[in-house]
Amino acid sequence: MARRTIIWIVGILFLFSASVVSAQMTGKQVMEKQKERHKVKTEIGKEDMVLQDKSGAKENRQVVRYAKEVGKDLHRYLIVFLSPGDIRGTALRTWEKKGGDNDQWLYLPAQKKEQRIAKAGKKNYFMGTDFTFEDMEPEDLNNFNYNILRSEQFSHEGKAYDCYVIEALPANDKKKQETGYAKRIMWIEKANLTTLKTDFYDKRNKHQKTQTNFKYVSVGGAVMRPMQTIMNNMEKSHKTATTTRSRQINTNIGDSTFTEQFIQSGKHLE
Amino acid sequence: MKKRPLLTSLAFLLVMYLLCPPITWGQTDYRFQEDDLLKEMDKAVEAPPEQKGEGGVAPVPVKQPTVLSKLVDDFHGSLRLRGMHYWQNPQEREGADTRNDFGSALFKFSDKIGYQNVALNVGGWVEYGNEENTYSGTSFSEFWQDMDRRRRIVDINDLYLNYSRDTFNFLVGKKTLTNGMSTLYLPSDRMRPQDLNDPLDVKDLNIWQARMDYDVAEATTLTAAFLPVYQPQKTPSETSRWMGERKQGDSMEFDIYDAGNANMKDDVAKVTDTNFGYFARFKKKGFHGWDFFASFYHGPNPFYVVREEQEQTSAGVTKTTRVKEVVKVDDYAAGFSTTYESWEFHGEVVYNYTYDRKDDDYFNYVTGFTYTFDDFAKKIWLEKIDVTVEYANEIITRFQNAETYVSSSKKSRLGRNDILSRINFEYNDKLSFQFVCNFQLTRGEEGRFQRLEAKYKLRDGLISKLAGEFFGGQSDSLYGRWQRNDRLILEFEYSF
Repeated sequence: MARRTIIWIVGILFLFSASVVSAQMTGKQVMEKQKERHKVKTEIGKEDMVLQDKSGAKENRQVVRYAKEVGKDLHRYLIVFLSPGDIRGTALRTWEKKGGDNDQWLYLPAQKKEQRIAKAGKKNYFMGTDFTFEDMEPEDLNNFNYNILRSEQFSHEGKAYDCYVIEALPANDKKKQETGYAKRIMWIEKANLTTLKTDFYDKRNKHQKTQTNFKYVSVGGAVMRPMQTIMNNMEKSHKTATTTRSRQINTNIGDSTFTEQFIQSGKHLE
Repeated sequence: MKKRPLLTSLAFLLVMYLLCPPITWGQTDYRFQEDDLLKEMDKAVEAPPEQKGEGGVAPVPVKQPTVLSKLVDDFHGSLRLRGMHYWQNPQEREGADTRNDFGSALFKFSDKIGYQNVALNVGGWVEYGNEENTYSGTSFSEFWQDMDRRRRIVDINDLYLNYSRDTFNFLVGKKTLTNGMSTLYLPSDRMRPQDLNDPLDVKDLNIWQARMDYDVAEATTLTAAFLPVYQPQKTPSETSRWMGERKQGDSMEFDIYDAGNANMKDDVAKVTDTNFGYFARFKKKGFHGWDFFASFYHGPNPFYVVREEQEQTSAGVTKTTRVKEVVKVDDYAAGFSTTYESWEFHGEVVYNYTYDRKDDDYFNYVTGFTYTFDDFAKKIWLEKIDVTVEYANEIITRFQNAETYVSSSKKSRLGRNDILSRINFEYNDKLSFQFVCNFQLTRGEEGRFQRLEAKYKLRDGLISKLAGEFFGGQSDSLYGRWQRNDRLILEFEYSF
């Protein structure tokens, strides 16, 4: 009898431990789930952007972002500056490519034509913001290793959130060379799989900047987006804050929105 | 005094550097203790944001805009104040403007009004300055074809109706028509008449056109344009210092600034069916990392040739007159752009075929690259350094050979054995420096142009620029003639 009881207890403990192990996702699985959960077919967001330098001087901008999934995990992006006047009409087009480098083109109104951008340029800051061209590309899950460092309570906007703390490291030599970062550390809330904070470390492993996302709202079912973002660049003593003024999810955006013709015809400013 | 352009350039760069706003070179241990921006943003989002689409919050009712409010919202422009100081006096000649200090104010504007897929776009400028024989007239005179050499004080250079759908765009009116994929010198960009009164501060005059851009496949666009009006370039006056120095024996007919020769007449292509232009282009972008185009143009050539005419005077004497003629050509062009690692490579070529052998037939090509230094730039406290280098040349396949035609357009053509370069040094979003140069290498016509510029953003929309331009070379070369035109330029431009 006693022997049978022990076998039952051991069996139950074994099953329980197995279920616990299966609940412990890997870093990559968390990232994949996050991508899957928050992905949309199309998105248009109009943002106010404030750039602040060390002296406290501020610069206000208006930006429109377009995004569309054109294939399985294959996206196109367009970012357009609407103001101030000296950069009005400047546009960045990105075509995500599988198994190759993404195509990127920059349109400068003064030149009245687009210029293809080389990959190395992606480490550079985009139009004086604290976001690099690389930061504006989608998360490249296949070329980074994601390690869960720990789980912790993260205090954010006056609340404590249960978070995964995940480290993203370039997975191969090619990516190590391309990326501007030695690593990124992300605080991802477990309940909604939203990224609350990301620390970026430069090639010398020095903490370079921190992106914090605020005021997540549901934009359609389980899909959530932050209303506000701050990129605080310690290295440059500079920060960029964005506030989303309007957002359209899963509306009909033609493929032509992501073409040069869309920009040349002036439709990007409408 | 012997000139040392390199030393002058370096000295100028140093002066500009010292004049620039204070720069903190060292790294600072700067941390934001309190995010005041957050508080500001909180205020900004007090009004609920608009959410549309599947599952989103119902859109906030928005007041319907009126025609007037749309016109006001879409009105954009810029005001530029520009001052120039030349270090040397121009060559003495009758009527020459011998001053060394000039200034101008330029107000550019654009507006549009649209309904559904149709939009009417208007853009232009108001400009005035103290340069003699440079400013005159408005768009309302010579509305279709501007034959005046002088820059219009008031001009509408954009005036077009646009009808766009998802896969095509149809345009009728006056607008710029760009072509090519190169960066600094674009041999195929020939449908782009410009105001060259200041040859280094050019303005697009734009051309009348009916144009269709049709997306035949993904990122593959076919363009067809009908260009009914040939718009000649505008050139500096006879009294301008851009006429340059002329020595005995120097050619006088073929530089871009040539005008006013008493024995020279113009034979510009008038607006007739025989002078219509036609343009077609195939463009594909993002094809396995490559961008391509191929284009065809048939119509009047922007580079004129010279023919001689014999005239009998009343006294029975035969007088020879030279006539600048715009001849008809076919231009076949192709080009590409691609990227590899930190490099961007580009190139393009145009083949110019002239009817009746009135001008040379030739290939004009350019090839070059842009390399972006970022890791290295950061080591020297810069954000990035972009270096663009191009080489351009031409190959003549058939020389001009028509009766009474005495000179081809060769001397007025650009990109004949030239090296062009541009280096951008970006310290941050507000402060940047640029070095641009063009070396003309053809023996006997060697010339050089160098420009150094510091650009500083004073506040939202307000840019200041300080630049120095330096010229030198053989006396009969393009830049050699401008060797007295080394100048300092200060600009303030506010855009809204």
